[in-house]
Amino acid sequence: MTVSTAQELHLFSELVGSAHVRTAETDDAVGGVVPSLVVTPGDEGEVASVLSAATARGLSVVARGGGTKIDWGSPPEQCDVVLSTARIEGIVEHEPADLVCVVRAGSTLSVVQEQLAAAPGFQQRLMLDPPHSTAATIGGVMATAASGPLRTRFGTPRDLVIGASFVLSDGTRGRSGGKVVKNVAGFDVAKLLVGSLGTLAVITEVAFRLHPVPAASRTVLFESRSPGDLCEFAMRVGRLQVTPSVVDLHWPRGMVVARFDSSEEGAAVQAERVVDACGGRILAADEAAALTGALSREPWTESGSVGAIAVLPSRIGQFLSSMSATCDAIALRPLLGTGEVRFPPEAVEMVRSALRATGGRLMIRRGAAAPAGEPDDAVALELMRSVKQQLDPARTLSPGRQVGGI
Amino acid sequence: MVAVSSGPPRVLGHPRGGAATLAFDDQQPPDPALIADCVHCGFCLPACPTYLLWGEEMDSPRGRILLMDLAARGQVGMEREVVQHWDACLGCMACVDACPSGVQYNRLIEQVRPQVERRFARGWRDRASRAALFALLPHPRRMRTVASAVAVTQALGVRKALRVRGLQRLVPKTLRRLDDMAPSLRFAELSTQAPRHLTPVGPRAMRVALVTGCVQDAFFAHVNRATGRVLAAHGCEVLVPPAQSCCGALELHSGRERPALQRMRNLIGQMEALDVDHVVVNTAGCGSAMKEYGALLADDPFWAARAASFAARVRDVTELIADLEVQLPFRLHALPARVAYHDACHLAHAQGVRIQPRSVLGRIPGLELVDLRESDVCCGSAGIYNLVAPQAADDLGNRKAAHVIASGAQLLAAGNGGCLLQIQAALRRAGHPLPVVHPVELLDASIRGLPVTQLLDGSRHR
Amino acid sequence: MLDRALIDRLRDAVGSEGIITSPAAVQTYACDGLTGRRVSPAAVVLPRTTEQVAQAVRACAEANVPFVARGAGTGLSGGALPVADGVVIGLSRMRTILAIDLENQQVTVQPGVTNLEVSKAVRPLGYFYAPDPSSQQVCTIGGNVAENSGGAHCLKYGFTTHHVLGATFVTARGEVAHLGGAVRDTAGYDLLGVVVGSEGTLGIVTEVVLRIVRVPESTETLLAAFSTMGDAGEAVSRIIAAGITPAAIEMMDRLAIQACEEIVHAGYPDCGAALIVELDGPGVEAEAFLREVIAICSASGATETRVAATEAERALIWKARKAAFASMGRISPNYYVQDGVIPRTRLRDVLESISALSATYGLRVANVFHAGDGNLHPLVLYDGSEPGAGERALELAGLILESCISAGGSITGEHGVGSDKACYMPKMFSPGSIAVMGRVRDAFDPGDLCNPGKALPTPRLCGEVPGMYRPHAIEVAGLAERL
Repeated sequence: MTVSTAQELHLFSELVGSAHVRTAETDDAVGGVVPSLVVTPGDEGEVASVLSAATARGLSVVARGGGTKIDWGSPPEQCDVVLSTARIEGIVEHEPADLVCVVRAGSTLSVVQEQLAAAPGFQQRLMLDPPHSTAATIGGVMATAASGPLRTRFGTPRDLVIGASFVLSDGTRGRSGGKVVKNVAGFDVAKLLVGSLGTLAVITEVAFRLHPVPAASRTVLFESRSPGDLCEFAMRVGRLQVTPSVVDLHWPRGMVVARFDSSEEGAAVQAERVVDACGGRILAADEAAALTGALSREPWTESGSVGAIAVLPSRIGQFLSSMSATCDAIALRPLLGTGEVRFPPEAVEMVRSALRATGGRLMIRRGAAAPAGEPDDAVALELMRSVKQQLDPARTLSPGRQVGGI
Repeated sequence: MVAVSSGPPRVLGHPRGGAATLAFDDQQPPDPALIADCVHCGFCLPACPTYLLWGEEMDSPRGRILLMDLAARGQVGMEREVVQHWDACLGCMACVDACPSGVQYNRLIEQVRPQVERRFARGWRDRASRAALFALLPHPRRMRTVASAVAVTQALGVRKALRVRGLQRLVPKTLRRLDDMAPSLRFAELSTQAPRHLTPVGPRAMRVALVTGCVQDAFFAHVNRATGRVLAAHGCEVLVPPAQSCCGALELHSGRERPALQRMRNLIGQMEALDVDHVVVNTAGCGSAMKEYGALLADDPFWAARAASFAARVRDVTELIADLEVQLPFRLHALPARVAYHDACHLAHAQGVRIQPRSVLGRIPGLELVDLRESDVCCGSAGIYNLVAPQAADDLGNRKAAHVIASGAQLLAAGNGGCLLQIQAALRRAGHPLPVVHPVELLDASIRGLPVTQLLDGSRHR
Repeated sequence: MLDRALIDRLRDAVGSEGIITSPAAVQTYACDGLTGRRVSPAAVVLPRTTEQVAQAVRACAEANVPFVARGAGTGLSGGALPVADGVVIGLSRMRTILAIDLENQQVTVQPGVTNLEVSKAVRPLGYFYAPDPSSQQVCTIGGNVAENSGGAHCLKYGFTTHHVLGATFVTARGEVAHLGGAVRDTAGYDLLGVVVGSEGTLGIVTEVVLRIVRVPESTETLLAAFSTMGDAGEAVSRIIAAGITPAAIEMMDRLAIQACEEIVHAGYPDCGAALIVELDGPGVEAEAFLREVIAICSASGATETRVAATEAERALIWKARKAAFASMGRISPNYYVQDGVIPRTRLRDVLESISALSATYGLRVANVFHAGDGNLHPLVLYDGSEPGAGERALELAGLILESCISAGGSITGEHGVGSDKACYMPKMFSPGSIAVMGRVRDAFDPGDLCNPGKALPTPRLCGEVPGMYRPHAIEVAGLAERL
């Protein structure tokens, strides 16, 4: 340990207690950069003091929840301290009759879901199903805008967040939004934080809108070895008078899974309508559960680079056809044009150019040198730099991790 | 449909009495209580044709009311920058229908226009044009003379030759436009005496008087005759007094209050003695003014009651026919044609007559009423508007013509002579000279079993 | 008065037919739907293209003259109130629907297109644009983006921010940026997300890519009458608790119903409170939910339930509700519409405090609101000709707002903060939160020229209420000192 690290360890111990500061190990690396210390504050106040102390000393801080997506974004230019949110967890408020909950950012998503579902008399949940949900935290899901199959109906964290509390690198504590769904008071700073990769603030609390857990579910499975047929099925479902929660396409499994959540009658009728009009078959409940479980881990299961893609839904077919041989696994939300792909690291350029050819984009999530993405627009990039300059002028928080090296 | 005009026509002139004088005098200025009804919600904007054209606040009902308010408070004078926006108002009253607060914009603009005429000294060219128009239009006999002259030149095919530059310049632009808009006229028809009395076919359902109008009688005598025939066919005994006065609508809508009121008294005087159940009119502009006679003459002790009782008997011909549940003693012949129906502002917005013309047309077997987009947006005719604000009127006319063409109609029907002239001219400009007719002409053709081809190729006019 | 040079530059940008400087004409732009305060701008420009907007903004920025964007001027928070000696940039001439991409369920429009026009354009194709503010036939998409407008159907479908995929954005310096886009998940910060709802203070949107949604197969509209607001509120809570997400739930009290009936004659029953519940979705689902909702209403004491049997009946029910604000003009010379949000669970007690306040002040308050999401619109009725009545009405409205805040709600659900409620922001947000919002604003508009004085509190506007201190440019230049 260097002299300065020892000093810093002492400094942070004063702020959060020595039990909650330790020297970092190689496992604590962020994008290949190993920090000196791991600090675990106990509440928002401690977060503020840690951050202002770090900023005063010119240290860089990377916030970490479950660490499941810590490598999303470019490697940090500098990483001195990992700020763990592990102790900032728990549900602050849950008003089932209002379908709103306020959750601390370090809470694990799956634990939150369990607690929400346990409210007496009400069955409700947060409609987010990103990957790694047994370890992913609310803060991490927000900072990476992670989502899963439910995005088709319910959107990303951006669409479900109604308020957030956060701390800036100079220790300023702020909040935007509130606890009511309908609220246009003030700027929607929370939206700025979603997907910001921890470069603007450390999120400490998030208020979400919840939805009732549906009474019943029906899953339709369509199988084919033709990418074109799979896309066609998905698009036809999108044009029918049905409201699926999930329409996911998987390759090379050669499947489209469409799930309908509603009342018993509603779910059954919709599923039948799809089978009649587009094909496929309705799965029995246990089959559906098993399949959903297996698919939820795609395409992260095996080794290889993983990237998130986005194209116009109308170009999904073209993308799938061009990539079906190159990619080892593809999981798409065809109605949105988003999804994830897994490919051998050396194929990254092929994947990137296939996306460019279809007018889309690729964001590396695992593996190959993972830049945060390419900036689309120079003027917008300048605005992003200004925002960073205003909220984190000292560049304390995850410097260099965002687009354009922000 | 890109408008060529980007704002209202420039108005030349100055406030009478100088820049410092108040905009309004105390003779029935715009009523502050009516102005206060406006809560500035803006629901009138999408209904206003001039807002549709120019997208500027001053040329919207909300903006015009605000200008009235500023003028009433003495914060603006009767300046041309203000007058131009009131002048640009078509008086179509679409805003009255759209307003959720019940603002009587029609009353307000009617109160403003005479103020403008009295308190704003128009440029000499404008004054000359208007004087020329009003020396001609509200005078049925003069109009018939002009119409005959036009018919002769049309028959002789010398119209082009007459457009000699030097000669043209002597005629005010507005009259030239009037000439341009003249429809095809048959001298023979014009010179024939119109019947003064029609007996009903079958048992008499009621007795009515028919208003023949001024421009109407000159350019649309055939519509008047068709009206008479259709009424008679529906069991009406029809009286058509000769030498009728103009109803005063044109002058009323242009703020020339005194002459307008005089004409109204004349017409009431001519008609009130007749023992009729209804006074029937086939031109929307006239009908709407006539229904207002009671309100307009309310302050005249000698005429108030007479005007009110007269006004109560006024009906548009389609209104009357639609309400008559008559077992026609003959069948209606088929008229297989696609017809687009344009809602004349003074019928739809001013009188609320929308369903009746459609239901009357619906009785004609084989006739298909096609969907016409923006059917109740003003065509730009608006009284003398298309003569004094030609570019704006043309923009609206072109917009209307484009919708008519897009509707796939073979014929355009409208219950107002001015609209028919305006839309016909616009269709001609667009290269699609579809025939334009009054709905009553279609009913007349159906009753008489005229072949639809006669209507479609407009041959009955040649 | 504007500098001659700036007027010339503006004229170069938009053409002489696009600039308005006559003193009479600029007064027609002095306010939006909030008529209490009027400020005439020095000039109004009406551009037709993104490039013209950018040039106009550049000219203002370089001359250090503030500018305010304006749509149809129907906003209820004074967001389009001009700045004295400033410029209004009206987007009303940019009203073309540029592209309809049905396959990708997107429509690209200019900001002056009205909200309803978007739905009208795609309805024949089986789609609609979901956010539906009551002023939708006149309010513009640009205004909707600025305010993050909602409408009755936002309960199920979300607000403007959930339906905007991309925008062409003119920055406060007059540069053109493209935020978001037709393809989702743009890299970097969600600038679009913070621009939506920023009330025109960060820049001007000149093209918007909107998401359209399938017209649901089946729509059921129910009108239920209750003796009291409490009963109606109870029904709403039970509907939500039953796991049903209606497309809309609206509530009106007796006074509001009376006023609407005067104009629309929709045949609403005479009752203490009326609920409009709309359910939509696949046929079977909508019908099943309707049955459940009717049962819940009856169990909560509904005196009457009526289901719209035809499209025309449904339209009439909504026409009355949408005419609610404007119809107040029939039963009162003046009114002030408030916009506050509370958690649904607090409905009963907040309504009780409103009626207590109304009694104390001796002013009638009609209540119209989006019961489904707790967004209240108390309409404070007063007679402006009575001395002091206007001020008392404003005071009463302010107290209502404070009870919304203390119930854990918000000072605005959809009308925005604008100039009207900037001073209430410190009651809802800590100085730190407001400071952060100020910093975000500074990132976009360091010169404080883009719709200044709106949304965030300023000491000048808000008197003693503490707000952020922002030095004037003259102070920064060291030419003057604030005393």
